Amino acid sequence: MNESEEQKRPAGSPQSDPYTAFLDLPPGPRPPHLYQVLDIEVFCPHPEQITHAVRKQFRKVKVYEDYPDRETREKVQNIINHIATANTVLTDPNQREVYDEKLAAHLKLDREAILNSRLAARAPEYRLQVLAGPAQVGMHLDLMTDRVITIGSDPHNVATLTGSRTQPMHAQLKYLDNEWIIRTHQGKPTIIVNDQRCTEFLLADGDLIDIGSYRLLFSRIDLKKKPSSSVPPPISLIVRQGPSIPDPVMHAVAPASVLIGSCETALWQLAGRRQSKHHCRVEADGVFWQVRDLHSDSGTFVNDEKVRQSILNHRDQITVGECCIQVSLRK
Amino acid sequence: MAKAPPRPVGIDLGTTFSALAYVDEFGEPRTILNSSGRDVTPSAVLINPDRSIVVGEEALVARKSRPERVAVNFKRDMGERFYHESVCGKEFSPEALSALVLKKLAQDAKSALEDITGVVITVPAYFGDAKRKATQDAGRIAGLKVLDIINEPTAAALANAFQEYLSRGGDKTEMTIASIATRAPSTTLVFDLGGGTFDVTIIRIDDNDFEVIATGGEVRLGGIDFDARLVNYFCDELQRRHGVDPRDTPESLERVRSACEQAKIDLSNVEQTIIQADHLGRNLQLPISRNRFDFLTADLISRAQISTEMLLEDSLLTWDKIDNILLVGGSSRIPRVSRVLAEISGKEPDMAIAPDQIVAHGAAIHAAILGLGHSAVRVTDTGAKIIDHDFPQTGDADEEQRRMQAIFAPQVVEAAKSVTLTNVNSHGLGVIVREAGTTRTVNSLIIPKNTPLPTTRVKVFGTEAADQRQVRMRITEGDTRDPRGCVQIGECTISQLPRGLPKGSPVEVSFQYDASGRIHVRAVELASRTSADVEIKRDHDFNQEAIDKLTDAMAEIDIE
Repeated sequence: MNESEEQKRPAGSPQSDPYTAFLDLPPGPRPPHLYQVLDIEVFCPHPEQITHAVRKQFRKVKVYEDYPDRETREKVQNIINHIATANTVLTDPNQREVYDEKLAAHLKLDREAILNSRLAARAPEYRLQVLAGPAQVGMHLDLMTDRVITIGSDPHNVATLTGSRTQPMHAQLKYLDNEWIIRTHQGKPTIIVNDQRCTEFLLADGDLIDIGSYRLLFSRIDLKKKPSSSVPPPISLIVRQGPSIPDPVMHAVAPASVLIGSCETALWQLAGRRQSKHHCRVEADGVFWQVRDLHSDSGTFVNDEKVRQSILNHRDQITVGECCIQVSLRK
Repeated sequence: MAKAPPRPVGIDLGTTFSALAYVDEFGEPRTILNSSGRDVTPSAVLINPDRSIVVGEEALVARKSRPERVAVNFKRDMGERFYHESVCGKEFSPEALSALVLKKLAQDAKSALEDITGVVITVPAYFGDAKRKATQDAGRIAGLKVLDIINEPTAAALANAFQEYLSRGGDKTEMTIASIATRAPSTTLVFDLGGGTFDVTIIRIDDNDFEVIATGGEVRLGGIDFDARLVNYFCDELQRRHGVDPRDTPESLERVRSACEQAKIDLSNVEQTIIQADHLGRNLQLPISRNRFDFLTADLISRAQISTEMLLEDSLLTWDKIDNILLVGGSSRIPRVSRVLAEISGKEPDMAIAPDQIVAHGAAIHAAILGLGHSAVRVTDTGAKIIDHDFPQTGDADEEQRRMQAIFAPQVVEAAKSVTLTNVNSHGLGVIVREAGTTRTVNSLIIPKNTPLPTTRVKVFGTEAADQRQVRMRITEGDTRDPRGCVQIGECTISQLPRGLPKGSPVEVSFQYDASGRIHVRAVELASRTSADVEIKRDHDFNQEAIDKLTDAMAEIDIE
C-alpha cells in the first residue's frame, strides 16, 4: 500500500515470451511440446499427473484472459488452447501413442529407454511402515513417486490393511508438486496424523498416520543408518477374556505406542462399560515395553495389581475394564 | 393482431445473436419476432457513409460485400474503450454498438407490445464488473430503462423451471410462476456455450429459491471460435491447391466465414457436408466430415470440459451430486459437446427446448417479477445490479405496479412474490499491496470468487513506512496474487493521517456488497480512526453526461 512508488511491472511483460510470462516455463524452444506446456517430464505416463498438471496450468494462465492489451490477450488464448490440446492428446491413449512416437522421432529420444531409466534412477526416498495394528505389522513399502499408493481393507489396494475400522478404500498417498500428500477417499473417512484428525495432510519425515486401528510411520529412507539393537522386540496384545471385540489382537513394533480406550481416536478400541475414553497407553521405553495408565476411572492392572506405570514382560496380563489382555513378546 | 399492454421485457444481448421476450398474462414467456419474422436477431451493425444504420440479418448480408462497414462480435470488446476496428472509418464504443442492437430489438418489439416500460438485460455469469457496467450503459444509451442485469445461466434455469412444468402437461391457466414451486430440491449444472462466451454454473433450486452455488467459464470461447477453425482449414486448403489465400481480402474472408458457419450448423445434423467459396476466381468445394470438424475443434471442447471439471472441483462437488445438466446456447448443438459431457458426467445432458431463446425467456420472467414490484434478486453478481434510480420515473411507481398487477392473472402475481435468487461473485475482489519484507507488489484477495452474496469481508494491512501520511489502495478484480492478472476497478485513498504513526500501523480494509449489489470499500487506519470510503470508479467509464449525449444522438437515429 505504497502511495508514492508506481507499481513495477514484474519481469514477464507482454513483450517477453508468453510461455515464460504466464506459465513460468523455463526458456527453451517455442512453441513448447505438450509435456513442456504442462510442465511435466517428457512422456510422463500417469494420467492423474497429467490431469492435475492441466488444471494447474489452466488456472495459472486463465487469470490473464482479460489482460489490458488485445495482442497479449490473443497470446493468452493461444496458450489456453495449447493446454487444452495437451489435455485432449495426452489423456487419450491412441492419440498419445501417435504423438509420443512423433515427438520421440523429433527430439531423437528413445521413449522406452527414458521411461526405464527414469524408473531405475528414481530410488525411493520415503517409506511407509506399519508400526501397530491387528495385522501386517512390520511391513514396509518404499514409495515410488510415480505411483499412487492406495490404502484400504479391499485387497485391490496397494497397501491392504484389513480390520473392522478400515474402509475398503480409505486413503491414498500421492506425490504431487514435490510433496507427498495423503488424502482420504473422496474426503469422507478420516485419518489421524500426529494425533490430529484430518482428511488431507502434506507429509513430512517422521509423521505418524493412524488409519482405523493401524498406526503407520512415514519416514525418510536412510540407508546408512544401521538398525539399532536397543529397541524392544515386537509386542502382541491379545484379548483373552472380556466382551467380544472385532479386532482382538494388536501388534506393534517400536517406536509405536498404542492408545487403548473407548474413544474413536484410540488406536485400539476396546468395548466395555468400564473403559475410559483414553484408558492407557502401551509404549516403547528403551529396550522395554511399558503400560501407562492415563488417569482412567477404573484403573489399569498388570497381573491383578493396580499400576500407574509398569514394564511389560512376556506372558504378563493387563486388565483394562472388562478386558484381560495377554502380553506376548517375541525375542 | 391487437398489441399487448405496456410491460417490461427481457433481452438476451448475445455475441452473435440477440433476442427479446416478454411474459404474457398467463405467465408464459414469449419471444417477439423481429421485422424479418425471426425469433433471434444477429448482433451485427451496418453503418453506411450517409450515417444510415442497419441492424440484424441485412447487416450480416452486407458484411460479405462491405466488411469494413459492419461491426460484429462487439460483446467480446465490452469493457474496452473502443470496438477493435473502425467501422466505416470511425471508432465506436462497444456500448454504442450494443445500444444500436438493443434499440433495434425494442423497436421491433413495438409490433407486439404497446410500449416497453423497462428491460432486464442478460450477461454471461463470468462477466466482470466493467463488462457488466458497460452492458448497463448500452441499455441506457438505447434510451431504455434498465431494471436489472442478470446472469444468463440463472435466466436459463429460471425459464427451464417453467418449461419443465409445461412439458408435464400443466393446465394452460396454471402455467404460472407458481408452478415452479411443486418440485423436489434439485441441483442443475447449466452449460451455456453461446456464440462468443462460455458459462458454466451450478444452481440449486428448492421451491422458488434459486441459489447459485458456483459459477465459472470463459469470456472468449464460443461458436465464432469454432467457425474460425473451419475458416483456417478451408483457407489452408485453398492456398495448397490453388495458391491463393482469402485471408488477405476481407470480402473473400467474409464469404468463407459465412460458408464455414453454415457448414458447422449443417454438421450438427449430418455426418458430412461441403464448404464452398471462391477467391480471386478460384472456387473450392471442400468436403468436410463431422469427424474432421471434431478434430479441428477438439481443444475448444476440451477447454469447456476443463472449466466444467474445475468448477466441480472448486465447489467440492462430484457428478453424482448434480441432478440435471442443462445445455443452453446455440453452440451446445454441436454433437460432440453433449457426448463429451455425457462421458465425463455419466449422465445424459438435456438440451434446452429453445437453446437460443431460453435466456431471453428467463430475463422476461425476471422483468415481470420486477415490474410487479418484487425484487427477486437479493443481489446479483459483482455489483452489477444497479436499479436505475437516475432514470426519470414516468408517473407513480405504485400506480405502475397496480397496472402490472391488472395485466397478469392473480396466481402469477402471487407467485412472483415467492421467487428468490441468491448469487455468488464470479471474480475475486482484492487490493494491491506490497508483500511484507519485499519490494514485490501482490494482489491480496479479500472476497474470493464464488462467495454467496451479500457479504462483507475485512482484512487488516500495515502501513509501509514510519510517519506515512497517506495510504492509497488499488482495488482489483481477479483471482490471482499476480497484479498482472487483475483488472483495476477502483482506487481509495486515506489522506491526512496523523504525524508520527509507526511503520506497520494497522489499516483495516472492508469490502461489502450491499443489498442493491453495489460494492462498497472502506479503509480505516485503526490507531487514529482516519477513514476513507470509495465508490468503484472505472477506467473507461461513461459518465452521465456522455450517456445523455449519446442517448440524444441515438434518439435521432432510425434503424432499419
